[in-house]
Amino acid sequence: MPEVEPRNNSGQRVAALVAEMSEAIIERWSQRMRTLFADDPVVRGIAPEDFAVGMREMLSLILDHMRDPNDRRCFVHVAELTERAYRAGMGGGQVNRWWIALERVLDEMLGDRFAQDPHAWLQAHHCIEDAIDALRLKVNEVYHEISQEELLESETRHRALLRNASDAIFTLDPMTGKLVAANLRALQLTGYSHEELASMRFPQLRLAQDREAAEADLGRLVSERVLTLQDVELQRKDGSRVPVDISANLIEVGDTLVCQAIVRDISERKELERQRREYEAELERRVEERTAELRWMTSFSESVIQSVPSPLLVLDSDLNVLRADQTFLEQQRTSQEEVQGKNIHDLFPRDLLEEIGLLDAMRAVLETGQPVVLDSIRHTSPDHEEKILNFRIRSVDSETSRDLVLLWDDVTAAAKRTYGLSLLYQIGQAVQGTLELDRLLYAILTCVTAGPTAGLGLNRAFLLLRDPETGTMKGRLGVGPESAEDAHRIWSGMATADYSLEAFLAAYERIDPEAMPLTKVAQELELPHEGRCASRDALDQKRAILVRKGAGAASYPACHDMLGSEEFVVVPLISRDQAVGVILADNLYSRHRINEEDTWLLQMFAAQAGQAIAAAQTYQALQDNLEALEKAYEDLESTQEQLVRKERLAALGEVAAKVAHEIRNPLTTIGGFARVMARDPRDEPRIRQSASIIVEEVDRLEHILGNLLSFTKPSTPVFQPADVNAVVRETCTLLAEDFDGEFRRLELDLAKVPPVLADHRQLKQAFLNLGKNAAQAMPDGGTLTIRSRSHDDEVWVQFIDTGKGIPKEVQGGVFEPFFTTRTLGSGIGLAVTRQILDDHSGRLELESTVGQGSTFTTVLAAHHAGDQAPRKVGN
Amino acid sequence: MSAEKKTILIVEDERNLRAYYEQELTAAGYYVIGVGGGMEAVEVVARERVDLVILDIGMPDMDGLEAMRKMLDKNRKLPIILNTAYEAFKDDFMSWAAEAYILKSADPTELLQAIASTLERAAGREA
Repeated sequence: MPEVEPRNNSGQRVAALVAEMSEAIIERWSQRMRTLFADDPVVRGIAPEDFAVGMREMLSLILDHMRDPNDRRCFVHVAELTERAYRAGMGGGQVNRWWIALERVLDEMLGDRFAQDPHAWLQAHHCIEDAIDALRLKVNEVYHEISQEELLESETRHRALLRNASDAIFTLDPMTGKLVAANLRALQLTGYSHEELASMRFPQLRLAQDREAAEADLGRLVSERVLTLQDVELQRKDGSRVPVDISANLIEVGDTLVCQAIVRDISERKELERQRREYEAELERRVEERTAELRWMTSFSESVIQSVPSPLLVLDSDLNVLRADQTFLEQQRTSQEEVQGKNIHDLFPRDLLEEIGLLDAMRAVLETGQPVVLDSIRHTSPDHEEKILNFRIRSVDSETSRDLVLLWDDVTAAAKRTYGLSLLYQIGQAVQGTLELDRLLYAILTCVTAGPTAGLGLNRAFLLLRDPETGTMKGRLGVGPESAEDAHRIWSGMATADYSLEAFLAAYERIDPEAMPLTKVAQELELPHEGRCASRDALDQKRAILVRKGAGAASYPACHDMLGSEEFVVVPLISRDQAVGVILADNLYSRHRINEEDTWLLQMFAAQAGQAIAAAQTYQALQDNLEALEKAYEDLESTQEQLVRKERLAALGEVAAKVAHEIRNPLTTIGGFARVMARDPRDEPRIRQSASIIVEEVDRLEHILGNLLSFTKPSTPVFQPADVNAVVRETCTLLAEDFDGEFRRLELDLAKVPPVLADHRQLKQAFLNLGKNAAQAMPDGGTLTIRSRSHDDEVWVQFIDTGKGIPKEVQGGVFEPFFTTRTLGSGIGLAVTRQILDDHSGRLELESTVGQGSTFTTVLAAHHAGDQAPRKVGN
Repeated sequence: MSAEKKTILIVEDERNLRAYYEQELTAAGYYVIGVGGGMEAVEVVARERVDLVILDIGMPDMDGLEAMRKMLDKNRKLPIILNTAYEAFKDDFMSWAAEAYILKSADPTELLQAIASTLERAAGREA
């Protein structure tokens, strides 16, 4: 049990005790505060930690006081605390509550503590009570001071306010309305003086017509204690009006109730308001203008967009449609509302976006801001119609975002036409070359049908040509798939590349157009005999004709079922103004309508085909001519051969005849004398004579034979240095028989001559021929002189006879082989001689006078040491 | 006793051949005159009685056909046989005036037959 001690000591002990329990105290104290003052906004608004801080502070102050009641510092602290509380918005009463609550809590807890010792408790209680009372006293003091200060401050402020306010402040008796006081501003505002105002009532200041309302207002003020009037008018002394706001309230000053009315001149404000309204109006006008401009801009750009013939989409960066243009909406048969917000994936097929790269392109533009163009994109739609598209993607940047504009053009028709024209050009070129007609026609038809976009995209094409004899049309060629399945297979398997004429022609090599299934169809086509025939009309009118089942089409009922398709087009083939045939084309499988573009291109192709046929016909004619020429040439050749052969034979015969002639005489002689010898072998003299003659003639024959062989197979001379005189002498030995000395004499006139390069044997033969010839020229005798001389660098050997001579007209001919006249049978001797002289690079000359004789001169070049071959003599 | 020897004039420029014909015809029982050229032949025909002329064509001074014309001028009925190495002159119409055109041959049979038949014909004509 705690001891009872004198108060001072007890204070210490209680303090220690309280200090010990401080956490528990604070706990219970805060609980108590919250419970008791749950609806106190101040208490409610304090954060828990601030609770604890504040409480601890207060507790420690109590402890301090209990420890030392004379400690003035805790009073200072409590004053600070109180001021803080005041500034935090707590009034004196509120602050006191805290202390009281604390006191209670302490009592309770000490009570628990000293439960068994009421005396101790009492002592403790007194201790705490003293402390808290003392502190509370201080708190009250502080509050009092504060309120005093405040009052003073407020008074001062009020006075200042009154004195210097820009607002007019009237003080009046609310019961009577009598003016009690007015500030300077009030005097200025109303124009009255103090004295004048002092005798007036507040409502009098208002406009005369508002007097009743003013009195009523006064009444309201009294009952409600506060009055606010806005935009009412006061009447000044000089009668002018001034707009004001009035704010009046009742104040208790001691026991009296006073009304303070603050009157604010709002004329400036009104002016400002007026100006503001003006500005606002101006602003609104400007905004209106601007808006109109904007509207115009929008509608302008809208119409620009709409005027672009291509479909156009504006997409945001997520590729959702922001807006589409009219062309797009019409093509897609949708509306702006339906399409806005849709993503690009909902509008374009996957293959276009991904495989062709449209998506990548758009992303690239979004990233880089650089426009992208995708040209000549091929795309096949589900009904096999291939299209060629050009895409343009641009970015549109604003401050906040980057959007995309996507434009595309369907250039299929243009591309088709361009391709068609390119093929046409190639065909044109090919036509100028010499191509087989069939090959070219096949190529043209293939150009027409190779599809779907390569070429015209027509499914099938048939060619009928006019038979020139009968004048009827005969199917010649058919190109295209045989059936729908075939067509599908071919088209889906086809690489989407443009085919060139070369590719078609190369393909021609591998196929037999006769065997193509459609060729059979072509061949079986029959033009109608009765009724209107489209082909005939096409040829007559020289234009394409479209045959179509159905109403409204030009009627060719007889032709409708010819090909089995809904419609087909007939195009005439004109070659040099002649009708040569027709091309029929249809779309049996794809069932696409044949449009004007197709027809136009087809006519172009037909024109080319016509040209090709003309060219081919010309070519054919040329070929025929050529063949005829070749045949004629062959005939000519064979005739010529025959002729040549005949000539050769003739020549040979001639030669043979001439040879025969040459040898006939010697042969007759030989045979004759042989017979003579045979007749009487014992007749010795006769035998001897005969034999010797035979020998002579045989020699002669040998000579002739030698000449003949020389002439027909001239042997290459072998050149050696030779002395012509020596050769002459040798020759003379052989000429002995012809020149017996009396009848015919042979004389030599040989001078010293330089050697010549000669074939000894050939030279001898030449000289022999000349000698014999001379002998023959002198049948009645004469003299042959052989003369050799050197002239400059030449060696001459002359054979001078005194024979009959050779007439001038015949002189050229004597060197011809087998030259024969009735008087001159020279054989080939002289010809051989000339040949030999030629081979020796020499020459043979003739001088002759009829009746006197002839001189044959051989000329050879003198041999120089080192010569390999005889040098040529001059003329 | 009318079987008197006929006179044959042989005109041949080649000596050896002429010698042969002289021998051959003499052996055949004819009286032979041999000359080496056309001119001489014409003289002989003018001066003597000749029953037949064997005439070579290719002769240097005067060819046989010309000689034949001259001889025929002297004696229109004179039988002449052309005996030549050349066939070519068959086309020469002058040669048609001859009784026969014989190609020279080692075998004299043809010639002798021609002589015999010509003489016979000539005798027959005279008779």
